Amino acid sequence: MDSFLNIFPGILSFSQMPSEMAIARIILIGLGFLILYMGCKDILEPLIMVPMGVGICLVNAGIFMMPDLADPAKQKLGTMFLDSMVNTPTDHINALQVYFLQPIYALSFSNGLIACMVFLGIGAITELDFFIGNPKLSLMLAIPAELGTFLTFPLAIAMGFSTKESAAIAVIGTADGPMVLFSSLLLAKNLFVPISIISYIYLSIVYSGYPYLIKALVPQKLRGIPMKEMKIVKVSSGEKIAFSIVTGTVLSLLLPVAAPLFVSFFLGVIIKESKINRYIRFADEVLLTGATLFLGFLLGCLLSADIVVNPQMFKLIVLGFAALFLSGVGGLLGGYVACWISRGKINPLIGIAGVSCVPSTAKVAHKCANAANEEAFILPYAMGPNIAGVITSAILMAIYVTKVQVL
Amino acid sequence: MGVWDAFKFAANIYLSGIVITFVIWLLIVAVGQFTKKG
Repeated sequence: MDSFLNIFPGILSFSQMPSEMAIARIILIGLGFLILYMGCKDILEPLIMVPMGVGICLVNAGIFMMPDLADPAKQKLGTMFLDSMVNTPTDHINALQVYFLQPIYALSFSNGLIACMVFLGIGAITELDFFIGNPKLSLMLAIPAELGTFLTFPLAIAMGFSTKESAAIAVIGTADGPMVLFSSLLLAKNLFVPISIISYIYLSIVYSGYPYLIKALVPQKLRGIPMKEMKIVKVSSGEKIAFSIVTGTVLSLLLPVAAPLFVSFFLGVIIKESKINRYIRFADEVLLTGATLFLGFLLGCLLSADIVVNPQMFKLIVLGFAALFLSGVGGLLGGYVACWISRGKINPLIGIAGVSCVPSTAKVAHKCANAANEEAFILPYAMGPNIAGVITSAILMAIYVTKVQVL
Repeated sequence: MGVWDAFKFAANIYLSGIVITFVIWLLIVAVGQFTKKG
């Protein structure tokens, strides 16, 4: 039997690890299939979930006893995918030559470059008209939609996380994947993988989960407000470029820690508004698409059994849910206030678009409004708070990182 | 850090965020005025 198993070291590895790890591995392979299925069926965001599901399945299947890079005379359980725990420069060089995903992980993931590439791509497809045409309304709706970012911090402290870890967890409330990635890399590298995975899974569920929150909190009459009386002001490309360069510069001056994210987003916007079609196609079709593919796949490949059996994982699942739930509730409360101030002209659902998560929450708001009233077409209006949400998310994340690092 | 201190710390960050958001609003208005005049 042993000689038979030696031919298949992947199967043999089940007997070479603690039983709870072996069980977690089997569960994760099943979870990978489930995520892949739900991604293919459009229940979860397919762009992230399909590659993530494949990564989870295969990385947990392909574990075997291999030479330890730090000491080749010893053996340890590992995969041929990547090793996220290498520390010394020599180990880094060795890892680059052994693991096929190590170059992408080391050069684009662990320094936050992939988050910046996603942001550049988002900037290049973002429509700023309603945001710049109605900045007061858009920003006013984005602020309450950060309620989860605010309240999750004391919740995480109450659950026993350190200040830096709590700040990284609170950023899940910004509902912006690249932001979560960036802050957890800066503040809590030990929790970077579980925080990122939980955040991306929840962000994928937003599309199917927020409609239930909306139906629970907003009556059908208000959901169906068509907003026909509000005009969308056409803003010139020159004004958008001027806004991007001025705002990017001021934000980088105020919060240098998030300057890479600001520069990426506003560079994308400026590329779009400059109408340089080759750059626009590159940023959208190559950079954003490629970064999203590798983001999903690498996150999946990082989800190994040792992370799942970590006792902090359950707390993170609870806190991630709380962060996005509170942000959603805050967004709808802001929408109610806007509806009340405008004497019923503004559909309160555009408040939930302030949660960020471009463009999912704006689409959710539109879908729910349209289901309540066929004449309600609120997507263009929802994009204003949606973009404002990205900006306020980046601001709050940067303040957290700046203030927590000096504590 | 205790839970109440954490709440105050997060509230402080939230208020700082509101102030910077207000600055962004002022910038949009200023840029709008400037480009319209231009």
